[in-house]
This record gives sequence, structure tokens and C-alpha cells, in this order.
Amino acid sequence: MESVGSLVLRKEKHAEYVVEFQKDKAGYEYVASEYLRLSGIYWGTTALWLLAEDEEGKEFKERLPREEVVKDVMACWNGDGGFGSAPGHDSHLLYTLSAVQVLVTYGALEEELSGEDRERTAAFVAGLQSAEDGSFRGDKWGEVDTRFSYCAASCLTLLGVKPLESKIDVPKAVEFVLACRNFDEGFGARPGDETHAGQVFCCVGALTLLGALDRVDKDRLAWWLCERQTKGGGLNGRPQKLHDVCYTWWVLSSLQMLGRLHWVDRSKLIHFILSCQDEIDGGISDRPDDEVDIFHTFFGIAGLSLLGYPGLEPVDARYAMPARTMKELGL
Amino acid sequence: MHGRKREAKEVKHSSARVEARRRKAKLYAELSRECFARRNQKRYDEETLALCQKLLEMNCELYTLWNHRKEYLEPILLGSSSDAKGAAEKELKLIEACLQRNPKSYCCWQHRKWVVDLANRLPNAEEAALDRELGLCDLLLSVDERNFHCWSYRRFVCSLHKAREPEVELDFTTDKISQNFSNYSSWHYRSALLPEINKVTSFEDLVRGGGGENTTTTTSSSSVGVKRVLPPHVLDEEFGLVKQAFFTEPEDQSSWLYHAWLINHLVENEKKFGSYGDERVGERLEQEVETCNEILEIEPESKWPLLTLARLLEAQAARAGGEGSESSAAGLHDKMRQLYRKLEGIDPMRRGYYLDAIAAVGNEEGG
Amino acid sequence: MASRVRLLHEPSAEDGEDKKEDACEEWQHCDVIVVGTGLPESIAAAALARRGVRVLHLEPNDSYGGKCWATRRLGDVLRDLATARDGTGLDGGSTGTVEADPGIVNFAYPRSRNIGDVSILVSAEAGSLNEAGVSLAEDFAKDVESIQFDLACAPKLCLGAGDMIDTLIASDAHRYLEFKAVQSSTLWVANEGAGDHDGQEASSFVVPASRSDIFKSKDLGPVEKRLLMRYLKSEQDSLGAGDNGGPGPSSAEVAGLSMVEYLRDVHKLPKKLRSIVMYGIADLDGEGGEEEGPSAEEGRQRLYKYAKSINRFGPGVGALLACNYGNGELSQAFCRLAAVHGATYVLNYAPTRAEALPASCPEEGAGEQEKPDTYEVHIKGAVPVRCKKILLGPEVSLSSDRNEEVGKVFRCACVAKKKESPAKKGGNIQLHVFSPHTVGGNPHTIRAVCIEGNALNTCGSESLVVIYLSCRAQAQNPSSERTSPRHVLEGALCKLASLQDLDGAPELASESKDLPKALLCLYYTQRDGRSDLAELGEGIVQLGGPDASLGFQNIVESSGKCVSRLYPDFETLFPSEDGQDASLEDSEDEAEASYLERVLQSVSKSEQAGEGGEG
Repeated sequence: MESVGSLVLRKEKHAEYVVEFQKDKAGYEYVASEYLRLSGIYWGTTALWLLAEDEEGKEFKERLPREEVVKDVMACWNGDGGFGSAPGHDSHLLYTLSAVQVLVTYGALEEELSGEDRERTAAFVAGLQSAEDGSFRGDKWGEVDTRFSYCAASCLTLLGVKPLESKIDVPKAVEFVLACRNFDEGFGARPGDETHAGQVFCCVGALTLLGALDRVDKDRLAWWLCERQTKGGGLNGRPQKLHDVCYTWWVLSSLQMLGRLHWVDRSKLIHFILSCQDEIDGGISDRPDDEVDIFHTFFGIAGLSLLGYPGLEPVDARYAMPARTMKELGL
Repeated sequence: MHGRKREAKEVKHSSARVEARRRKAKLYAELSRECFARRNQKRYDEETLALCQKLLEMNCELYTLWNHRKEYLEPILLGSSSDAKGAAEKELKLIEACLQRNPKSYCCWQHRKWVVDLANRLPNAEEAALDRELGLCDLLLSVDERNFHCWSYRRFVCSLHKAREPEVELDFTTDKISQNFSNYSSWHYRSALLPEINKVTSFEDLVRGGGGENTTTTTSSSSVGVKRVLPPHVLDEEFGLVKQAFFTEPEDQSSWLYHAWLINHLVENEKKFGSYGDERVGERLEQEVETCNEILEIEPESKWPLLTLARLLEAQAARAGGEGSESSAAGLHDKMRQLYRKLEGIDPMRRGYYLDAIAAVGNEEGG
Repeated sequence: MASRVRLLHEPSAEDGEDKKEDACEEWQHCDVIVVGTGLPESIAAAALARRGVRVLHLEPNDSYGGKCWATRRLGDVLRDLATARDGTGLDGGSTGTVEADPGIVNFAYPRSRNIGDVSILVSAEAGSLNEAGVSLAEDFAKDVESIQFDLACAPKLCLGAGDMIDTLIASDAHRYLEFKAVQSSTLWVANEGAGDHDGQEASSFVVPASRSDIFKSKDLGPVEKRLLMRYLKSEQDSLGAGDNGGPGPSSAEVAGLSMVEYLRDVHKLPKKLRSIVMYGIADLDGEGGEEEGPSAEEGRQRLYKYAKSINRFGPGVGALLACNYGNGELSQAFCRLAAVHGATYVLNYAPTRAEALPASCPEEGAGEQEKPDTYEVHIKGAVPVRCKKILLGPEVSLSSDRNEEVGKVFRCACVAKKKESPAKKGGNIQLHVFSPHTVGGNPHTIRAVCIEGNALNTCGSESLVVIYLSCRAQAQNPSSERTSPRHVLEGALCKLASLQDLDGAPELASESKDLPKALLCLYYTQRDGRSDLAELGEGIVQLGGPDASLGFQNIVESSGKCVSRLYPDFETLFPSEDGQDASLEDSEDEAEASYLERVLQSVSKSEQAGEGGEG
């Protein structure tokens, strides 16, 4: 196992943390996070997939029974084709994507959603596109955000929609994303909004999936992204903000898609992520000595995977899912 | 948890602590069950709304409960009854309380947008209500000048506010930058406002020194033929402003990133249109080279002026390239390589970038 | 913590009435008698009372703060200055004496102990000067009587992260106070090549004290910006690196250097930037010269506090704050705090004599409160009171005052009228600093605090401005001509107000026509309280009045010293009450749980959808 200084990735601890979080259904963290539970399942399970094998060569993902995971996901299915964050919660594009991601990773999409259901889900997603400007809403209440452009592109692709043009107006979707481009070549949530590394991931991801990445100035954008690395080795999301483990993912995956991953200092970044681990209880936090959560745990591990940290399952930068799964799907 | 300190293990795992959290979790789950049961029965009675509000006040990320409130409010706000305005105001008060505690909540901001948008369409809607929204933005931006939710909301309010000129917003960014020139959010907003304010339809307009006659506040109107280029007097001011920041603190990246945009704007537009109207691009580049050199005299190891200088030289070399002055371009290339090598030492984290930059200059050393 | 200091725009919480009524019975049970409710005495009284010491706090005058610290009515100040001019005081001008018996100390309250060299200039519009003092013109008198009009005896400003604000926060006395930010600081420097005494050759600019000031400044060139910012940053880094609480250990290159040498030789700052640092920011008195100049150590400490003060109370709020309703409020806040902790307050009572009681052996193991009393204090109009220790304010005079060399502060309070009535209500608070040798030939810094209109609720008229000038007096050289406060301060005043209409023909003309017209100028010399902390005998300590500096650092320090002299165990004025943090997290969980419980109880009575829904 690669060590940086005295730090190593505590795979066993993190797996225990994820499993414990998923199983302790009466814990406050669990009940109070119902508004994003389905994303939590995606972060937790994908983290287990990426952690690969324990010391005895057993896959970490086996620690959460597949049927339970799939059952939890399907409990959030709503009749309109979308998924809510938790049972009884309204359908939303964010959780619909999470649900589809988990089902695809576990190879359960087709057994859980009939062709008709998948069609309905695709229609739910496609129905959120604005005919006027090509943007996507998160749900019927109308919040517009480039996050949703990415979610839609990813979700439809994972659902096997081919070509995307059959469901959505691709040129308009591309134009909307490009309308969110800023003076620094980065992207914001809506036209006029400030560039943010998370939003850059969504836009670069969307453009990649929509086949329009050649529309961006890769050098300028990737340079802005590599300037996110701070003195402490971590990455921030915007100039003059603190570094944070979650930006490891947003920045690195974007750089990967832009083909310029080598513009950041790999070993310093690995050291930063490892220093954010809770060595006793497991889990990864935003910054050293902060409280850990499932979100940062996933992005820390996914970032390490992208950096080629040994012993981890490779991750696909476009989908934030195991690369193996994507290969099997031919994506 | 963003920004929340890790607890000492003996506290976290103490039986009292665990017990208190269990109890809280149980009560929370009970209230949540009750609220969602009522929401799924589509109950909009006062008691139900009040109950859900209590849960939202504790956890404002529960988007489904905000949706519940939208379902209740929608017919009221779309109707023309006299209590529509009052209902909107009451809702805004609730959201404001949630935002004060949680100023980065996506669903609170979204809900506020939704309410304000509908309230603004009411027949008795007043501009004062939008002014109040801008006041809320002022307040929250004074607490956190980088809150991008709030900046975004501000732009949304301005788009509804017919009397709000982009010039006033530009002044706002100037104030914010005066308070703290590291406020990248303000520089960003500036970069969006300036082309909007100085919209011109031709270079003839630019020479006449006029802003466009057709200034609207919508940012989506990118009609063909409208050149969003900045006239020389605006460029003078902007270059002057960033220069103050450079000398005050050359390590501050916000102003340099803005500067990079100004230069890029000049060079790209010159390339696109063959000239930049009245602006003498060559002189401007020379002047900026001088500024960098002045800073480097006092701070010879400073990254940003070194990098900016390298890029200015690159722009100069590209402009000279066409005129066949082979040797001068080669001289510039030499200097660029030297600068990137120096940067490699000063800023080793981005070594990969500098190496690529050197490679891009080409390997014509000494020639 | 910091955010708990209220600035003016926030609502204030009302507090209970002060205890004012006589309670002779209570007087008998005290450990310490404090005489005078000036600021340092009040801080000490509060610090002692909060630790359970029984304090009897007497004020010889009829209002809190006494004559050295209060913010007082114009008429009272004028009467008082006229009395001081005559050399008389509360007790007919005599000073206290120590009797032949060393166990007896007599107290007196002559005004001349603290005030001297009074010189008053009046314009015809404001009134005239006569034997009895100033008689105000009818209209002006009506004006200042009908409106609230107060003058500060100690015009000082707080640093946002300075000792005063920190003490207010630590003690909780900030609850009683509100502050307003000072809008601007202006520095006056002598133009290059101009003679020392030529005030015409001075120029002014806004002090660039923070990063944003430097960025905005139009008075600094680009290179000057860089040099100043680089210097300030290096201090912030090296001082802040020490710990979170204050300046770190000073490096070897600082040791033994004066601030001038340090800035000039170590940091290579040109003169203009040195002036900005020393006078505009660090509020130092001068370069030294004949006397010892301020040390680099002291200067750096001041810079550090100044830097921490900027933006402490919100973005764009500068380093300096002014107390709303005047600095007299500060004394009152500490008195209130002391009263909350059981101190007894009595106005209009002045002790005349303290007699030492014969010593008796304390019982073994007896606590502080069981120790026998050591003094019997005689108070005019009341029965004698016994106590263990005595703390005296600056108004009390003892024979030891005689012939003693004390430092002096030159002061001027000028009431001026603006040319045009301002449209905006409230007005600004501004600071002007005249670096040494800029005007008036004095080697010390002159500070001028200008309070426009009703900025601090001390003046009901928006068109009036009050300008307070102060300056440390030059050590009196016997051979040189005696300088007067007017001689030293007038040059600075004429930069801020037009003196043309004043009776008594000022020699200096003001340049700008837009300056406000001076109506009334009060010049006087005040005893410098800077190093006035005297131990007058076993358990008797005396504190000084205001010093020349702008801030409260010396005052807070001497209050602390005074408390620890009386009670050596009391090392800090207001120690924090600890032991709360650990349980904080628990109580948050519990609070949220009870919140949920209350909400749930409100529904349990009515039908519950959770169960009813299935039926």
C-alpha cells in the first residue's frame, strides 16, 4: 500500500464507517439526512466498490447485501418515473440520477425497472428540459442549474437512451451550458453566475456526454482548475477559498476529462486527502480534524482512485462510477 | 460536515452523548413521519403547515416540505385575492429566518426565488419589495462576501427590477472590491456587467465612445453582430484598478485572473475583428509588460507578475509573428522559456503546467 | 464573543436602575472604599466586586465619572474651568496634608490638582469673557441649553480589538454600551523642506491603515503601496505567529531599537511611510529626540492591536470606535457592573480623612473577609466607615502632591459652527493626527477628535462640531520659554476650524473657507495620568486621570496594576469563567430534543395523521 509520510489509506476503517452509517437506521445522522438519502446510498456504495478488496481479498462491496441496497433504492421510486431522496419524498432529478447510478453499478437496472419503467424515467428526465433555452430543471418547480444538465445527460446515457437526440434537444442543451461560461473560462450554475469547481465538473461532464467538449478552451479552463491547488496541497472550489476534500473530485475529474490531470501536484494532494481521515472511527472530512461524513468519504476515495492510488478500483471521471462497470456497458 | 470540528472520541462515544443523540433521533423521526404523512394526504390546514414549518426550521433542506408549501401557496399567489401579498410576505419571513441560519441552502434560495417571482406578478406588486430583496442580499453579502447563492439571487432580483440599472450594480462591485479586492465574486460580476453596459453594435460606436443605445439587462440576448467589447476609457479604468491591487498585494490571484481576462479580451477581439477599434493593443501590452517589470523590481520572486509577463510576451510574439520579424519573436520566446523555468522553481505544484507551456513555446533555444 | 459588543445600529437591552439611595447601614460592611468614579477606579471596583470583594464606591461630585472622566454639560465645564483658573476647588483650594501622626491621611479636592493654564477664547456670537468666567450670549446659551450639549473631559477612542473593548467583553460590561465607528483618520505631515514651525507647509491625507485603505489610497504611489503593505504584512505574520493571543516573541533585530530606527534601518521605510505607521496607526507620541522615543517593541504591539481591530465588527468597520453618549458612559458601565455584583454606590460624599486602626493579629486561617479592618474613613455628613483598603481617584489631593514633577497634557475643546447646515443627520466622527513638528513646534503628536453634529448623541444641533485636541506637553526645560496649551495647539486647530471670529486675535489664519467657524475655545493643561499609580501607604493606592494617548491601553493597564497591588492574587482584571465548553455540545442535542418534544406534544392532542391516515 502506498504511504505518504506515515499516512496510508485506512480502507478497513472507511468500509466500516460506510457500512455502519448505512446500517444504523435509527442514528441521527441517518434520519436527519433523509433529504439526500438516496445520494448517500450512492456515495456509500460506490465508495465500497472503489475500495476494492480487504486484506483477505474479499470485496468490500459484499459487506452491504446487494438485495438490501437495491430495495432501499427502489423504495424511493415514485410513479412519475422519478425518484425522491427517501420514501415519501418528491421526485427530483438529483436522486433520480443517484438511483440509476446505484442500479447500474449493481447491475440491477433491468431487473428492477421494466422497459416501460425505464422509458418513464427517461421521459421524466427529458421532460425537465426547457424548450426555450435548453436548460434543465431539477423538478417540476423550476429550479434551473447546470448541475441538472449534467444529471440529465448522465442519467439518460445510463438508462441506455441512444442517441440522446431521440429524447432531448442536444444542441440547445449544449448552448445553455456554454451560456454559463465565464470570463475565466469556467462555468457557473446559471448564465451570469460565478465559476465554481463543482459546476465546472457538471458542465465539462455534460459537454463530454453531449459530445461538445471541443467547444471549450481546454488550456485556459484546466489552468484555472490547477490553480485551485492551495499551499496545503488540497484543492479549493473557487479562488481564495479554503481547500476541501470534495473539490478533489470536482477538480480532478474535470482535469481528467480535459486531459490535463498532470497539472496538479499528485503527492501533495494525496497527502492532504489522507490527512483528512478519521483514523479511529473511519471516514474522511472536508479538512483535517473536522467531522467526517459520507459525502467527503466518497469524494476522497474517488479522488485517490483517479490519482491512481494503489489498491483501489479505477473510477470513471465522467460518471463518478467504477470504470469497470462503464466498460462492461460499453460507455 | 463542512467546517465542523471533529469531536474528541471520549465525548463522542460517552454514554450520555450517545443517549442524547438517540433520543433526538427518535423524536426527529417521529416528527418527520407525522409531517410526511400529512403531506402525502395533501393536508394544507393551518396546523399541518405550522407543524411542517417547525421541522423546516430545524432542517431547511427538506425540499419536499418546501414543495408542500408551494402547493399550498400557488393558488393563493396566482389568484387575485387581497391576501396574496400578505401570504407572500409571511413566507418570505420564514425563508429569511432559515437563510440567516443556513445561508447556503439551495432549497431555501430556490423557494425564495419562486415566491418572489410569483409575488412580483401580482397586480399590486411594488418595486419596494424588490428593493427589500436587494437589501437582504446586501446584508448577507456583508456577512459572507463570497456566498454564490446570494450573488446569484441578487442577479435574479435585478432581472425582475426594471429600475435597477447595471451601472448601479457595477458601483456595488466597486464598493465590494474597495472593501476587499480578493473578492473574486465581485470581479466576476464586473466581467459580466461591463460588456453589458458597454454593449456596442459596431466599432464605429466604440470610436464615438458610446455605450450601445440598446442596453437591456438580460444576459441571454446574444444577438449576432453585437460586439461586446470594452471601449478604451473603460479599459483604462479597469487596468488602473487592477494595478492598485497588484502593488498592494502581488500575491492576490483575483486581480490577476481579472487582468488575464482583460488581456485575453483585447487579443481575442483583435484577432476576430482584425483591429480593436481605437484601442492600440500593442501599446497596451507594452504598458502592462512595464507594470509587471515594475513589480518584479520590488518583488523579483513573485509568481503572478512572472506568469503574467510570460503571457504578455506570448501575446506580443503572436502579434509579431505575422510581420516576419523572426528574430524578435525568437527573443520573446527565449524570455518566455526563462520565465516558465523560473516559475517551475517558485511554484512547483504546477510544474506540469509550466513544462507544457515551455514545450508549447517550442524548442528553438538560441536560434 | 467579539460579536457581542454592540454597535449603535443594534437594539439595546434595558437594564435596571442604579442604586443611588443612601444606605448607611450597608456602608459598614465593606472591604474596599473607592473614592471617585473615574474610569480606572470604576474598572477596578467592578473587577473587585465581581470577585466578591465588598466595595463601597463614593463619588465626591454629583455625577458619575467625576470631573476628569465624565461627559459633562457645557455650562458645568465652563464653570469648572473658571474655578480652576482661580485655583480654587471643592475644598477651597487647600491640598490634603499628612498629619504629624503618620497613621492619619487628610484628603482634599482642589481643582488645580488636575487642571491649569486655562485660557478661554470666545466669539461675539457665543458670548464674552469676564471676571467670573464666560457669560454666554443669550441666543447661544439658549441653543446649548435647549439642546443636549455635552463636552468630554477625556476625549478618547477605543481600538476595536484594544484593551478597553477586550475588558468590556471579558467583564460583560459591554451590555450597557453602544459604539460608533470612526469614519476616517487623517494624518498631517510637514511638507518636505518646510520649517518646523511653519504650519502653512503641512499637508494632509487619509491614513491608509488597512489593506483596503492602501488599495484605495490616492495619496500613495504604487511603490509606496507595496512597501507599506509588505511591512504591515510582515508584522502581522511575525506578530500573529507567536500565538493567537498577542504579539509573539520579538526577534533579535527589534531588541533595543526605537521605533524610528526599526522602521528606518530594518525595514527601510521612507519618512512618509514611517509617519503613517508611527502616528497614523500606532498612535505614538513622537520620535523621542531629547527624551527616550517609543521602542520598536511598543510600536509593534500597537500595530498588532490596530490590525486586529480592523473589520472586527463587520466589513468596512475601521479600527477605531467611539462610545455613544461619550466616554463618561464607560465609567458608568463598570459602575453598573460593580453594583450588580454588590458594590454600594453613593454620590456627593467625599471622605475627608483616613485613620489607621491599631493592628491586631488576624485569626489563624481566616479568609480575606474575616481579616480585621485597617482604616477608619471619615466622610463629611456621614458616620465614619471602616475598611481594609482604600483606592483613590485623581481628584483627591494629598500633601505629597506638592512640588512634585508631574507630566502634563495640553488640551483644547473647541465648539465650532459649520458654514452650512448639513442635510444628513447624525454626522461623522473623524480623527486628525498631526505628526510631531508639523504645527506648533511641539515634538509630540497632536490628536484631534472631531465630532460632528449629533454623531454621539452629545449635541442636539446638527450644525455644531466639537473638536478636541490633545498633546503631551514637552518636558519643561527651565531655560526655555514656558509653552502654553494655546501656543502648541492653535496651529493644529486652525487647520480644522476658522479662528477669525474669536476674541483675543489668534495669530494664525485658516486656509480653507469651508472650515467651520470657531465659537468657543477652551485651552487648558491637564495632569497626565499616564504613569500616575501611587502607593500611598499600606493598602492605599491612587490612580491617575486621562493620559495624552488616544486609546485606553494605559488606563486599563493601570487599573489592572492597581487591583493586583491591593490583592496580589488577582492577576487579571476579569478572568474568564471556564468549564462550560465541554458540555456545550450535549446541551445542543438536548435543546433540539426538547424542541422536537414540544412540537410533537402540540400535535399529540389533536388527531395524528401518522396513525389516522391508515384508518
